[in-house]
Amino acid sequence: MNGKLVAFCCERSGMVAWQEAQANGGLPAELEVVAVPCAGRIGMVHLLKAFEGGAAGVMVFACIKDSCDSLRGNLHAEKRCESTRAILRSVGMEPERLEFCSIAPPMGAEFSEVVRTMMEKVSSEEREG
Amino acid sequence: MTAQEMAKPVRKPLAVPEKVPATQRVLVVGGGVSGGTAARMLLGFGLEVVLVEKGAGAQPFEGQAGAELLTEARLVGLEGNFGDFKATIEAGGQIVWRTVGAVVVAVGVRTEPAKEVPLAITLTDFRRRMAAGEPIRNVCFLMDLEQSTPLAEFSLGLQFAFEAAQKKTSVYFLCRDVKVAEEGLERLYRSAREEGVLFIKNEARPTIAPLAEAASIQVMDLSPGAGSHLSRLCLTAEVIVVPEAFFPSEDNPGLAALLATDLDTKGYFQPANVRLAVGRTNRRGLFVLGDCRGPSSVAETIERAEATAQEIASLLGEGEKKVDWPVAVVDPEKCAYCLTCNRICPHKAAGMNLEEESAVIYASACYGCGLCVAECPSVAITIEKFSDAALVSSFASGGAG
Repeated sequence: MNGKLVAFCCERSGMVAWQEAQANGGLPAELEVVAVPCAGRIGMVHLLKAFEGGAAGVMVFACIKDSCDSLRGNLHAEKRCESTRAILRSVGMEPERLEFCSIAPPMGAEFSEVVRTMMEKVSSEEREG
Repeated sequence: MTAQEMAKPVRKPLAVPEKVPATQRVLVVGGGVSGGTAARMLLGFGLEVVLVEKGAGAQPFEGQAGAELLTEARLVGLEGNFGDFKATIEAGGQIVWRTVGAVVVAVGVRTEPAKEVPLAITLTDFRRRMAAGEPIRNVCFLMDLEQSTPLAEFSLGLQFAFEAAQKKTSVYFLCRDVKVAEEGLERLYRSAREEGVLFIKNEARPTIAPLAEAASIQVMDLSPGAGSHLSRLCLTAEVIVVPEAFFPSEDNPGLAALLATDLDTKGYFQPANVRLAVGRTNRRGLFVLGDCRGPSSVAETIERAEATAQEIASLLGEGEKKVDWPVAVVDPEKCAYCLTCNRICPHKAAGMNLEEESAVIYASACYGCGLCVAECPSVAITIEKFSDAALVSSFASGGAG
């Protein structure tokens, strides 16, 4: 693992929140952001590829329930995160390394908070492991 | 494999068109305030309008060119996509077909008088009695009885209470909350108070007992400042006015299925989603307006209808619409024809290509959200800008293939 964090962001919510968070500063250099048209575009393969590529933690930022432009895209994304967590568990990885997060465009502070929590989580797990 | 099969040409994915047709005609279903307003605005923008009205009459068009009014008619089928919908309409026992670029649904709402309120009349009846100049000594308005009274009805009630007070009728106005979330309502509320309308905060159903020529109303006043020993009020009123209760039309489920759009949990058009606030639906070119989205005031209805007409005019452009949004593409060679995409697409953009035996995504309807791309079991669907390779390129370069 290379200690990187990968954030898949819905273009309509997560990406805007990321820009907001970036403007406020304080995002770790380890964070890589991947834009998707809708969180529903993200397949299990992308999440697993991120871990395969060495990510220590992966986050999915989707729209808040009932405000998804694709109506149900965020629900699909959440479902896939759950399935991917089961795979992580079965191969002996901590499922907490994958986080699904509902976010609205102006929630930059919350975006930073989720990233910070993930950073702490993975670094404490690294120490224990 | 036979020689014939081997000679079968490789099926290429359909190229994303640069432009899609945008028929300069709009179908409006429902000729009430919202449908009529939208229709007149659309005509003003130089678009043709086909107005389908269930009843015998509809808002007049003032004989404008390009307007077609079908009365005693209903929509029975809708095929195709944005810019090129094929509508099947039953009008006066005959079936007619029209090609339209966009569809506006502006059907009505079902109303019922509030149940089991003795001696009560509706707002409409009260207006009639006032207009007839009947002398009314005292009147009691009862709002928020079974359901929170919609703003539209509430503002009407407030208006009538004010007018009655001006005519020296003594007016009680019982409600859970005074709703003023519309232009002019706060002013109206104040004027009503100045004219002597008595507002009483009330949450429980009051006890109503008929008297000789009036009714006695027992009510707990919950207004701040009404001390506990003073809070039980006994009012006498000649007339009790209640708002009508609103229910979604029984036609809504059938119509929604026909249009391939969703209803909310109550049965009104359009689920609660902030992205759909201005009359948009899950489908490009399909709009819902007016009371079928839930009861709304006349001012709000007209404003929404005008905004939607403007949006349609800009969408339809001048006969063609440039495809400036990302579009998913099916590779027929990989497609297993399982139609998962058809089931999952929230925008109803995935259909069948019967000749190729392959799924097809219609560029005119696709929003490029990528739900089908992620879900396709055969990995047959791609979006150029958001390919699998592009999504993992930033972190998968380090050895992972």
